[in-house]
Amino acid sequence: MRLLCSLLLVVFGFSFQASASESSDISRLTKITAQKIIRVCIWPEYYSITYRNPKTQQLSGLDFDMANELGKDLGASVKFVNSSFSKVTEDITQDRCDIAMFAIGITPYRKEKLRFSQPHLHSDIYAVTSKSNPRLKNWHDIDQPGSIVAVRKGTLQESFMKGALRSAKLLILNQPFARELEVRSGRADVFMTDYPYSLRFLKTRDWARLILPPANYHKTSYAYAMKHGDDIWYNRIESFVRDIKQDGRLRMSAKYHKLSSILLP
Amino acid sequence: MNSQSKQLRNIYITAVVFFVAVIIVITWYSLWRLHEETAAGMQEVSTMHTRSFENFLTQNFRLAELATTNIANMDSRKKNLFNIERSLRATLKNNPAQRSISLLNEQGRIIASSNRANVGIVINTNNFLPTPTGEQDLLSIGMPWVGRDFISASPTTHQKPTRSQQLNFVPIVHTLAFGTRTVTLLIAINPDFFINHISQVLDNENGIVDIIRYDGTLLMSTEVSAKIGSLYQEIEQSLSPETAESGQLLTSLLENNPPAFSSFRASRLYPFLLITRIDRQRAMQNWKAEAKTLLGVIIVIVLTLAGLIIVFYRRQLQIEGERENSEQLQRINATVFGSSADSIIITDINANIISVNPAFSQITGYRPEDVIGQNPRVLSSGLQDNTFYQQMWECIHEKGVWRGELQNRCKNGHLYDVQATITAFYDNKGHLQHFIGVSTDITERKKSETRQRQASSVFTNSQEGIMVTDENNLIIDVNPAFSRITGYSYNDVIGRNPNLLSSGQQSPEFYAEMKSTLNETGSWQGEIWNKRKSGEIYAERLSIDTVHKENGETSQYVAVFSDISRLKIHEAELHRSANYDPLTSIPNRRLLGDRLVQTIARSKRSNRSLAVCYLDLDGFKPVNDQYGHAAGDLLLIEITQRLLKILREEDTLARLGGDEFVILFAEIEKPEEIDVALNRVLKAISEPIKVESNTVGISASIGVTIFPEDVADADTLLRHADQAMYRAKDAGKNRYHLFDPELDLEVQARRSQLKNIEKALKNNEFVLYYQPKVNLVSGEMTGAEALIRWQHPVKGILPPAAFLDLIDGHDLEIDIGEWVIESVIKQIVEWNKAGLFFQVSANLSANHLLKEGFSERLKEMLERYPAVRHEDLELEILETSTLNDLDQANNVLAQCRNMGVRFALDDFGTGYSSLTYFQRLPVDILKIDQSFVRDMLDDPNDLDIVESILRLAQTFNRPVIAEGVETLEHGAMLVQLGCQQAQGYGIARPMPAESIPSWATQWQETKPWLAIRKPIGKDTNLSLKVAMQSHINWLDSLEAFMRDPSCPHPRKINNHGQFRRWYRSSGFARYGTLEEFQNIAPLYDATCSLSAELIELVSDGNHTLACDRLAELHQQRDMLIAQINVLIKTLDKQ
Repeated sequence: MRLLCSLLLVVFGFSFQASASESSDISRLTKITAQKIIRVCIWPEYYSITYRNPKTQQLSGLDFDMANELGKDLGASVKFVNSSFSKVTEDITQDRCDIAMFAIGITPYRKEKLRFSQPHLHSDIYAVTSKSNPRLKNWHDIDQPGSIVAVRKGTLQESFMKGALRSAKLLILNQPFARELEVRSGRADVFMTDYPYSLRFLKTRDWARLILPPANYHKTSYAYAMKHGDDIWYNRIESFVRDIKQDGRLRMSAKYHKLSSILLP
Repeated sequence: MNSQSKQLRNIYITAVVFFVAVIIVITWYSLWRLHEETAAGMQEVSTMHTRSFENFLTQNFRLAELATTNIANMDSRKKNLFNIERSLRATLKNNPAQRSISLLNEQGRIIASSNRANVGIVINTNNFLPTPTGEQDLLSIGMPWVGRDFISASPTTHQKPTRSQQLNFVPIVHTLAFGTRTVTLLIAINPDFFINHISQVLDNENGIVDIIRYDGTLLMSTEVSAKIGSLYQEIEQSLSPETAESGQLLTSLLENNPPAFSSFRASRLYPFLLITRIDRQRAMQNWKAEAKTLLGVIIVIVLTLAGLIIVFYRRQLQIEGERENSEQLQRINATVFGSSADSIIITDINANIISVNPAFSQITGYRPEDVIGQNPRVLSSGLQDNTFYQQMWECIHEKGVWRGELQNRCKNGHLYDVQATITAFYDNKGHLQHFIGVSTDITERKKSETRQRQASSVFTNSQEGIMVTDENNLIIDVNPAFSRITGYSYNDVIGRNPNLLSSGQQSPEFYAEMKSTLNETGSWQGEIWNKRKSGEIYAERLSIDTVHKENGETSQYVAVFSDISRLKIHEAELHRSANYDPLTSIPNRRLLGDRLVQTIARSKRSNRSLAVCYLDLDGFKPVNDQYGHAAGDLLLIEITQRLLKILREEDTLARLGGDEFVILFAEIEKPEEIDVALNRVLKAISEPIKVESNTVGISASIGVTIFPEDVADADTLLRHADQAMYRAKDAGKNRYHLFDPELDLEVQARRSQLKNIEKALKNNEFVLYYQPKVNLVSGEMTGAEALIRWQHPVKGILPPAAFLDLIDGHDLEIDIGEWVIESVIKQIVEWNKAGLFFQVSANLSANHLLKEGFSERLKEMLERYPAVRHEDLELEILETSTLNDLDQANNVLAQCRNMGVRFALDDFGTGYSSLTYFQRLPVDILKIDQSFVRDMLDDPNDLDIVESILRLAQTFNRPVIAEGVETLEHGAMLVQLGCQQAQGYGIARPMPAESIPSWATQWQETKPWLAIRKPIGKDTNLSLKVAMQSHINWLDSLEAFMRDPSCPHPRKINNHGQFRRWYRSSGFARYGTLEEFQNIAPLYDATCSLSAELIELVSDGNHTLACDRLAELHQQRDMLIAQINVLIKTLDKQ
């Protein structure tokens, strides 16, 4: 009986999809609905967004919560796929995941490669340095001769800092947690990150110190990324984002993760 | 401030000083200890940090050493440089303490490095410590470099150090020997990693940590301004790392630095040491803060305590003061308690008395020990019921106090009123502790109130007007009766002088006298005319009394008066009808008598004469008969009018009744005036008088007597005038006749007799005879009674009856009485001289006894004869004398008896007041009147009297003497009756004084008293026998009369009817209940009727016929006697 129902659903779903866009491929949504699995790309080092605790291997964060919500809405179980900013474009385009949900900053470059949902967060760029580093007091001290600024490869900070730094040297790192080590060992003076990462990082590292940028230094909106095309999927995601914004799920989760200040309406 | 207070103050000051000193010492000690502990603690912290940091550094150095060892092994195995570099980078991956690792060749050039930029740089390791030798594994520490890594950095020198805030690192080389070959690895140690670590634990501001190479080079420092690479010159010398691996640094050695708790520790493996300097100032901040807090708290506490102590001290002072006040108050209370006139009872909560004051004992009579522990109901009178006490206790429990009046009972049972206040006494906590009862004895007040109410009631309701004036004689109160009588209301008179009532009828002298009487005696009574408000004059009987203040001054006058106007009118009417002739309204006989007495008195004073004229109308009766009584009355009125016209004011015209008038002419200076006046009277009367249209002629006969020519009393004067009037009538009427006193025989006779008696007294014509008194049993002569005799030169011896009546009430009575007493006293002296001692009595008249000064004169008399024993003088007072003033007589008797003089009550039994005198007069002996004694042998009634007197005297233990003992038979009867003293002819007749001694001798010689048969027993039926004998005697007389009618008529004989009288009175009283006595009566009656018949026969001349019936009489007599004997026998049996 259950098998029959599933079969019927697949048949009807297929026929519906066929009637909606006759010429295109079957929507990702249909697939997901049929398979009851949704693959979500995440960056497991992303504090407050999608962070996997190395000690427990448990994921937590705002977008982890939202991914689960999406799964619920779609009636599918969520499969998290490890990714990173440097890999996300590839992961999406290679269809390793159906959607990337880890507060992906909407940059022009990425826009070309990915289709973003409407943004739900926004953040400026923040700098983290060592407490014992007396040489860096404020933002202006960063871009000085001899200074070394560490960024994660593929992040929006990397792209932005490449253009922004005049005197300081940019150190682009692709190893997990490499930025911290460089700063801590004194090989770099500072590393750049965003609000959600810095928030959680400072809480757990007693040696770190945050340097705040000037107001609205470089605000970037964060959203979920999908493959271009597949409007049905995109619309469904858009609908989902509207839903979570309206029904308070987003707000509740943001509050829990102390991200209320960077929520977008 | 007294010494106690000073002592108290000193104690407090000492205590405060001691307390503050202790607190200071304790605080100081505490702070010192705290300081020391803090310092020690901080030093400990410093040491602890040092050890911890050193350990951390050494371990990290060791990690670096181990890492480099691995790499050196790789190198020794000839790995290629690329692999080595990867390995170098991998080593760094988890080691933020190392900035870079490089491999040096033997020339000291970097041939491989984690930071490829370093390759080619030559590192001079000469100044590394310890200097690498290449012979053994060795870790050497070089001078710090300024910069990030060798490629961009330069080494510092001691002279050219860098600042800590500059990016720097410390190079260390690890030299490893592999046989002959040595491998040298260069590590750039990241100081930030350590400083970060240290700063996490020890804040920069709290303490500084320096890491120093053994040569004194400063490798790292948490101090921002530290000069990295400079030489720790100061410590270098004193520091002996070889000997001391760890310890404290003396602060004095770090002069440039702020004082600190410093400690150092040398690394156990590497040539550096670590110094921790904890800023002393900051370290002690806590202590300072605590010290400040503590001091603050202590100061506050000390101040508070000092304040509290001062407050407490003041409170103590106050309490001390209050205690003194309280003690004083208690002493005052005790004094009040003790001296209060009110009774005070204090009880406990159960109302048992625990204390009473002296006034309580005075009022109730209970001593404190009687009532302590008792309930005050011992005082209860029982007059208040239980409800009263219930209400009282309810009131006390509700309000805490009860006030009221009640009656209590003293210990002696007397009731007394009290005004009591019972108060419940609570302690500070409000618990009931005592009851206190204070009561005032208001018994007197109550009585006074009652009296006041009574007085007030009397004042208000009295029918008599009452007026009270103050000492200035201004009215302060009047009662309703005052207003009713005077017509003045209360408000009319208050504050006014009572003279507003004055009628003006009394003279000022009258008031002056009233005032002086009031001042002298305090009161005045009398009658007075006053004026009502209406102006009406009225009479009042007024009594004024003075009310005095305590000091004797006059405070008020109280006048009580009653309106006696009506009484006065009645009195006047009465006076008029009593004193005035109703027809003519001139004085009647009564008023005339008064006027006459007054006029006589006035005449005596003024030495002027008065004339009493007795006037009788001639020919009045025919007028009365002819024209009737009315016409007669008119005529009398007319005559009266005419006479009044011609008489002077001081003269009196009175009508005695009928046609008899009396005219009193007073204040006559010359006898001629009377003549003129009387002629005028005669003329006025003889003028024709018109009576009912008829003219009648009438005249008067007047008898006149003139005082003092006619020395007589008022009645005598009138009688004399009356006599003279008859002379005038006899002489032809219409004339007056003057009474001639010289011709009045009666007066003359009395006057001459008195003169004779007076003369006799002067001439010693009176003599005293003495009649002896004897004891009939012993025969002793006990005394003699002096009896006066007049040895008249012509008439011979006269008995007292011949002259004593004449002098009764006359002054001569006293004179003679005194003569008698003095003579008796003289006689006693004489007889005493002759060896005769007995009492001699003299008779004393009542007038004499009551004459003023009798006892004094008697005393003088006795004092003239001191030899006389006073008790030998006996004065006999006649029981029949009218002792008008018994009290006075009593006084005199008492005075005389005090002198020793004896008194006898003479003629006892004859007067009406025998018993009264017997009871009240303190006499020594009674004398039974001779009349009873004389006839007692014949008359059973007299015998009964004598017997009664003797029994009375016996009962009251008074001696008795019997007079009139005429025969020895009498004496025998007296002895039989129990009377031994006797006097009378049977013993001796009165005899001259000189005969007494011889008589006494003869009496003793002949002893006639021996003839008297002594009574064997007491015969109580003497009177019965006498009565029988008396009747037998009478029957004998009757028989004699029958035989010879010339004998005395039996009905005229003394003992006629004596038996009957005795039988019905005293006989009946004695034997009336006996049948034998009652049986006598018919026999006696039969005897009597037979006697009466026989007397009739004899009187009618038939005495022969009468004698024939003698036998009948004898028979009757014998039957009677037989019956009497039956009675006597019966009585004897009893």
